[in-house]
This record gives sequence, structure tokens and C-alpha cells, in this order.
Amino acid sequence: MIAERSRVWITGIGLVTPLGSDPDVFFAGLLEGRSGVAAVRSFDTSALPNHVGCEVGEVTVPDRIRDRVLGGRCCELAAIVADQAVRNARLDGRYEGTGNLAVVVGTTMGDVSRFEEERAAHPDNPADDSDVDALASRPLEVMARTVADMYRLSGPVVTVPAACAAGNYALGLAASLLARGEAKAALAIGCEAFSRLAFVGFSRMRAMSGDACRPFSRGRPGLLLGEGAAGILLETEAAARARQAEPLAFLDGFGLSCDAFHITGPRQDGAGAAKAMEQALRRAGITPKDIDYLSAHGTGTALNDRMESVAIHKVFGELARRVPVSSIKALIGHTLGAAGAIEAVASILALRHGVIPPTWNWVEADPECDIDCVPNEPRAAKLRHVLSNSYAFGGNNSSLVLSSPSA
Amino acid sequence: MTGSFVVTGAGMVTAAGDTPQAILQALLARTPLAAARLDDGGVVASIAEFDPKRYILRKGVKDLSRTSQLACSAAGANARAIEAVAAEDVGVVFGSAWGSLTTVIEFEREAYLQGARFVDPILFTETVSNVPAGQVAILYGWSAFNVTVSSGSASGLAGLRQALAFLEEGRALVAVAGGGDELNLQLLRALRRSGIVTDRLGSLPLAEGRSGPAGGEGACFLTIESDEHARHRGAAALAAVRASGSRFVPRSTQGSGGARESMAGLIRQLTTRSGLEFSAVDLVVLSASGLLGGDVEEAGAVLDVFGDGPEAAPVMVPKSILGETWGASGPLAAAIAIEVMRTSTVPAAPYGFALAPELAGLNVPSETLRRTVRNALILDRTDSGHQLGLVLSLDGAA
Repeated sequence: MIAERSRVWITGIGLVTPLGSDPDVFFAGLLEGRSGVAAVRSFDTSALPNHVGCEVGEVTVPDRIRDRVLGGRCCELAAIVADQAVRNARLDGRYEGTGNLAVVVGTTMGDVSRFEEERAAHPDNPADDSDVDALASRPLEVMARTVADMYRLSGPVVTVPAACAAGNYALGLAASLLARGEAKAALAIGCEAFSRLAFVGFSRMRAMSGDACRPFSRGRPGLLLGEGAAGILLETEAAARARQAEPLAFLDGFGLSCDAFHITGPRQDGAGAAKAMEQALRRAGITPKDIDYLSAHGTGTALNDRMESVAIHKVFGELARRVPVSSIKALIGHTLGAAGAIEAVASILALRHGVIPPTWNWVEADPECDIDCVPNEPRAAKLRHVLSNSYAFGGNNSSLVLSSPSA
Repeated sequence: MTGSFVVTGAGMVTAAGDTPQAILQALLARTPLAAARLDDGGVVASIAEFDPKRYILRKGVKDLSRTSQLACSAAGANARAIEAVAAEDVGVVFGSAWGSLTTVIEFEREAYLQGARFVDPILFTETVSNVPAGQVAILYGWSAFNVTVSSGSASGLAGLRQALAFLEEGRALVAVAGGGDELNLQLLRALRRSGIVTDRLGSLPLAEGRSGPAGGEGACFLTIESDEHARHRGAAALAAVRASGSRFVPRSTQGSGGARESMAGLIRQLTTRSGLEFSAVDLVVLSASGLLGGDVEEAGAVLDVFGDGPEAAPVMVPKSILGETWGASGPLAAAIAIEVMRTSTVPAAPYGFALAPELAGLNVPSETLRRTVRNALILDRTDSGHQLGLVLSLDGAA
């Protein structure tokens, strides 16, 4: 039970994923096991050992915002989910042209699509001036600026390029802005366009699977890359009540830590990840026994899933084998900077529908992942609190506590 | 800001040196560092003799991106000053305008030269924007939090603001916060083509005939902690953080004086939050870089709030000497302001400076001022709409 205090309300959501851009369609896909995995279409993969990923396909930017998009595909994704979240929250122009709505955008690679298009035009030559122009004109903050310009906002505009934890960081930093009275509402966005750069990089790191992603399964072959975005509208309780908004969920806690250990590999004792989870629980005013579902980072790599399982044992103790844990990355891949935000939306939908999306593609128990990973079957459950993890390069660990409106 | 926070250390790597004293000396010398002209016509203020091995005592330094090297090097001085603090109680925030853009270009180039199947995966790691902050954490063991933020050339000040927020929330006892960016010649050319940096030696911020900044590079971190924690561990406070704030100017209001009005509003907000009268602000450190509209936006707002003439707070412009150091610029401005406060010495404008007519009345000293400076306002802005500010004070410092 959350102690009496002002809470951060979630009043709007929006998303673009390989499983669709409608929350109900997306969530139904998670429950049905609809896979977003397909042969990569965005670029030629013939020079690499990996050829599949989870792309969104063509995206349609609504006419009403098309001329506000300052960059390429990543900007388009951010703009679309911002628009969806604002409409879902029925803001009806509230906060537009004011400093009351903050924007916090998380990403990994940023808006590199035009650079990659330019490069594809002359693949046999190194990057030239026009390629670099494409990068220089779209710095990391161009997505946040796009969204701020869409609503003529004058409040805090923050970009947090926290790699694969960026979606969680965006939500945490946005909640922090509200708690400190810097805004009445905040759009937290995680966004990532499918990028050749990231694809080549993860392929060369030998972190990628050749076919399927199988989180927590013995012999799991690695991650698959995906793309997408999610936007989540947060409001202070006072602001939400003042306009008689209904909460979809509450964002009750944000924890973070750094492994300070290795730039790509997680600490295998799970200490950093555990610290982030414990901090999120403490800030939410709850304990591990209150968590009804854990949305895992669950990339499907050997090291991540083992570490996350160890961390779950550290935090949950004897409850570790009982708390349901799942990863949706088997279906939509690792969407990098968008992952935390998309998984937060999935968690909100799980809270609302009372169903835990399973870990699909799971084949065999891994003794090193001794947790209940809800394999291959959705599970009905009364959910009050969800813990959602995201980890990243740089040893960045983050956890969110999302709660049902009735909790 | 609900807490009482102080700056207890500063670490930096710049073209003017790696201490606040050295940089202040460079400003007092009144000669811009951007004396290097490139073969392609550009001018730069790079750290020509930068040797990361001087600062980073570990293997694999050459594998780090230059931004990571700059960041790790700058943080060394901070690390020495907080050796007695448990590493798990220290968080890192790093602001960067360009992230790892250089490495992105390099990775693409290697993928072309060697083929995608053979490109070095370590190079890919360094393309990821939060890696410099992660390398700092690994080098010094700081694990409370690790955050990278990006707000163009105001990224470093954005980093300081984020650190203050996390300290307020009790997420660490000490924050090592700042920012930095490396100089990339291909990027520099792209920015020249867009008019964001100059190709002319002698372009000075706020000056008549200015044409933008020289491209620079560097990194700078401040050590920030609560006043109480600093006292408890016996650390001398260099300055107290009185207030910080930020605004954004959307494109729709950037013209017709909207940005200048917004900046003036931010200045008023910061002085109010600081509990200071306008007359108590002894120094204004501008981010002015020589961009035509940007300088007017920022300096014009200062004129609007503080008035003109020699009675108004004197204005200092570090970029006149250092060039545009992007993510490093805001924290460097703060570190320089502290040094000015500590030495009661306000540098004059560089030799040959002639104030732009549209900024007439702005109090840019033409001679070095010897005077007490207790409160400094540090401003930052970007053409993309970010406006940030910080008020530092000797009151509350040791």
C-alpha cells in the first residue's frame, strides 16, 4: 500500500512498435505471441552473419504535425508517439504554448537515418561532407526539440541519451521534474529508429541471434534488434485532478545505479541492477512482496539474463522464484533507447488488463536463470505493482515501479 | 532548489590549461587561443598537446574516443579531491552536444575500409553517447548514478542542473557533473557550412563584425555536494550554488524578440530564486560565442535586466578566448566564475575588441577589474532554443 502522498499520474500513452501502433493491438500481439521478427528490409545485410530484426515498416506522420518534424525517422517516431500520448490523455490543447509541459526524450543512436541514407548512396566511399552535414544538422536533442516545437513549449526540454536504458531514464527524469515543481506535466519518450550502425555494431559484438530471441532460455542465442517508440504523459496529481483526468497508472518509483565495472558487460554479481531495483522499491514505499510482476530487461543474451536473474534473487530473496518475470523482447526485439518506454507501456497495459505477457520462444530452463519467466503462456493475475528494468552500456542500471490506479 | 549545495572541486582539460588558474590567466592575457588555421580554411582552438596518458593511469587509453579521453582526464582532479568519499556515494553526470559523433563517422569509415564483417567492435562501443560518462565511472569507481544529457552547447550546464536534482533527491552524496566534447574536423567543416562556427581568425563574441566562434574542445567537471556533507568531511566550499533554471524557446517564438524576452525572464527568475537583488549580482558570465542573433539574445537580455553603463554588472565571455567547447563550456564558465570570485579579478575583453553597436552600454570591461565578486550569474543558450542559468555565490563558501 502506497503511503498518502502526491503521486505521479500516467494519463496518456502512445507507441509505435513492430507489433503495431495501437496499444490494444500491441498488447494483444504480446499475449498471442505475434512475432515482429522478419528479414531486415532497411539495408543490405549480406556482408554480415545476421539478417533478421524487428522493424516497424512504414510510419505515417499525421498531417497535423508533419511540418513540425525537424529530422528523420527517429524524429518521426518521437513526434507520432507524443501526438498519440497527448491525444490519449485528452489534453485538448492544455499546456500548449506554456512552460507547464516538460519534454524528456531518451535515445541510443539518435537521428542517424539521413546519415545512413546518404552513406547508402555511395557505399564504396568513406563518409563525405554531405554525410557529415546530415549528422551535424540532427544532433542528439533534435527529437526533444521537435516535440517541444509541436506544442510551442517553453518549459524544461531534456535529452537523455542513456543507450538501452534511455526509455526508463526519460520516465525517471520526467517524474523528477514534476516532483520538483518544474512542470505540471511531462512527456517522457523513448525512441529508436532501426539503424545499420547499431546492427553492424551488435553483430560484430556477437551479441545477436541469427534467428530468434529466447530470453532466459538455456542456450539462448542472443538479442535481436528492433525499433519503435513510446510516449507517456505524466502529470502531477494536482494537475491531473484539476482537469478531472483518469489515471492509467502511477509512476511511483525510479531507481538507478551504475556498475562502474565494464563498458558493455554487466557485473555478474548483479549488485548494480539490484541496487536500482531496491532504490525504486524504496522510493515507491513498497517492498519486494508487493511486486506482482517484473518486466525484465531480458535481452536474451547469456550475460544479461544471467545477471538479471542473480539480481532478482538478491532483491527478492525467497520470493525470487515466485515473482512472475517476463521479457517482451522475444517478439519486438531490443528497441534500444525505446525499450524502457515501450516496456513501461506494456506494463501499464498489463496492470489494466490483469494479464502478464509471457516470455515467448522460451525452450528450456536455464539453471542460471532460476526464476519464473512466465514461459510461452499469458498469465491472468491481479496486478497492483510492476517493476520494470532497463540496463545499458556504461553500466547504467534503472528500474521503475508502475502501479495500478487501485493500488 | 530545496537543498543547500556547494562546489568543492573542479577538474578540466582545455586548450588554455587544466586548472581554473591557468584559464583565468589566459583570459587575463586577452589573446584568443584560436590561432590555428587549418588547411581547409577553418580556425580551431584544439588542445594540441593533449596526452590522455598524463591523466589516465590504466591500460587501453588509446581505445577510448577522444571525448572519453577528455572526460576521464578532466575528472581526475575531482577524483583526487574526493578520495575519502565512498565511490558508491558518488554519481556522474556528463553533458555532451555531439555525443560520439566522431566515432560514428570513424566506425562507418572502418566498416567501409575493412568491411562490416571485420570492423572493430570496440569502436562501436565508443559510438554510444553515454559511454564517456560510463568510462569515467569505471575509471574512478563512481556508481551512485551515471547520466548523460544533451542540450547542444548548453549540455554541460544541463548536466550540472541534472546533478543538482539528483543530489536533492538524495541519490548520491557527491556529484561529479559537467560536460565535454571533442573537436572533429569533419564536423567543424559541416558547422562552418551552416554558419555555426567561423572561418575567420579574430571573430570575437559581442564584437562588431563577429562571425561565430572558433571550434574548440575540452571537458570540465565540478564536484557538487550538500553544504552539510562538505562540512562533515572537511572539504572547503569554493562557492555555493544559489539557484539554477532552464527554459526553452520554441521556433514559433524565437523571432521578434521572444528569445531575448525569455532569457530576461530566466535571469529574473534566477535572481528571485537566489534571493538576490539585481544589484547584488557582481558578475555575468555569458555563453556568447559570436553568433549574430545569439549574442544579441543573451547580452540584450542582460541589458534589459541589469541596465547599461559601468554601474551594471560586468560581463565576461570565456568563449572569446577558448572558442566553442560545446558541452564543456557551461561548467568551464562556472569554474572560471569561481576563480574570478576567489581572486577578485575580472578579466577584460580581448585586445582589439570593439563592442557591437547593437549592444551599446553592455558593461564589458576594457581593463582588468580588481573588485570583490560575491555573486556570479552564469548563462547559457543555444540557437536551438535552450536557455539555462546558474547563480554561484561566495556567501556560504569557505
